[in-house]
Amino acid sequence: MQDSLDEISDEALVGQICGGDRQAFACLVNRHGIRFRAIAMRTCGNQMMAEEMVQKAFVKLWTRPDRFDREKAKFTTWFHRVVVNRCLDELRRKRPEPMPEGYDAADTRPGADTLIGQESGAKHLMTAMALLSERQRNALTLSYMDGYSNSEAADIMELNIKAYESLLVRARAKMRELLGRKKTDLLSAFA
Amino acid sequence: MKEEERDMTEEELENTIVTHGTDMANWPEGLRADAARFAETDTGKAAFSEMQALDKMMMQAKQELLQSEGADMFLAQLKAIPDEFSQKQTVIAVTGTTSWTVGAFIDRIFDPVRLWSPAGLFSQGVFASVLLFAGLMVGVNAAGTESFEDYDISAGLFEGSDQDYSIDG
Repeated sequence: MQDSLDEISDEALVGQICGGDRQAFACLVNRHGIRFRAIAMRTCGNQMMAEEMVQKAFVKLWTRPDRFDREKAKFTTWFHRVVVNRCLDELRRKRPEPMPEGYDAADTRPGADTLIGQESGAKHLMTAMALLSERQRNALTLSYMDGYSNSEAADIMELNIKAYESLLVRARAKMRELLGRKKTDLLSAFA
Repeated sequence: MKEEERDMTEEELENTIVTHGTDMANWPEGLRADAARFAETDTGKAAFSEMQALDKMMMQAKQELLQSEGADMFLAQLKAIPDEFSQKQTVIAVTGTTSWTVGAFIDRIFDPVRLWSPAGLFSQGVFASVLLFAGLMVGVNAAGTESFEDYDISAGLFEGSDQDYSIDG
C-alpha cells in the first residue's frame, strides 16, 4: 500500500486526505515534513516555534484539506505559503514591545565582518544570508535550500520568471561579495 | 558559417548559472563553448571557483538543516495528527474562531446562503413535513376522547338550572 502511495502526486494525496485517508497523510508528512521544518526554522530562527508552526499547518491540512485548490497551485507552492505565513504571523504576534520614548541604547550587535569572521562553514553562509535583503534571502533559500525550480520559486514569490532570476543573480552576487571577505580560508575550503 | 566567438563576462556566467545550474553539461552548447573559453582566463577561473564554492556551501547548509536533531520524533508527531484531530471537529479546535453561542447558532441557520441552498431548502421541507405529521398525529390521537359538550361553551351557563327554564315546570 505504501509503495503505491509513493508513486502518487502530492496533489492526488491531498485528494485522498479529503476522504480521510491517514496513510496518504502520513505519506505527505514523510515527503515534506522535514523540508518544511527547515523552511520554518529559517523563517522563525527558532526550532521550537518552527516545529509548532509546521505542526499547525499539518493539522490544518488534515482538518481542512478542501482548502487546497489543485487548479490554482502545486501542493508544495501552496503549503510553503501556508507555513511561511504562519511563521510570519507568529513572529509579528510575538514582536517585542517598543522601547519607551527617548530610550536610545547603543547598538552592541557585532557588524557583518565580525559575525562572518566568528563562524565557519554552513553557519558562515547562514550569517551572510541574514545580511541580505528579505527578498534576496527568500530567493536564495527557495532555489538552493528548498529545492524549488526557478518557475516554482517565482510563483511563490509572485514574480515573473525573469524578475525572479534577476533577483537571484543579485542575491548570489551579494553573497559572493560578503563571503569574498573571507575568500582565502572559506571559499577555498569548499572549492 | 562559423559561429562568432566572444568572451563571456562574469555577469553572464552568473546569469547562466542561475538559469541552467552549475553543471555545465546541462547548458546549451553555445553557452558551454563560451564558458569553457572564459574558464581558461584568470578572471574566469576565479569566478567559476567562487560560484561553485557558493553552491557547495548552500548544499552543505541544506543538508545540515535537513539532518538536524529530532527529525524522527518530529515526523512521528506529525503522523499522529489524525489520531488527535478528527477532520470535522478540529475545524473548531484549530481555528478557534467559531463561537457556539446561541446568537452564532441563529446567525448560522438564518444565513441566506445556507437557507436557500439545496440542502437548506430540503431541510426546511423535511422540518415542515415533520411538523405537519406531528400535528396530524396529535389530532388523530385526540379524536373521540372529547364530547361535544367539551366544546359547547354555553353548556356551563345552564348547568344545574335546567329546572328553572323547563316549560314543564
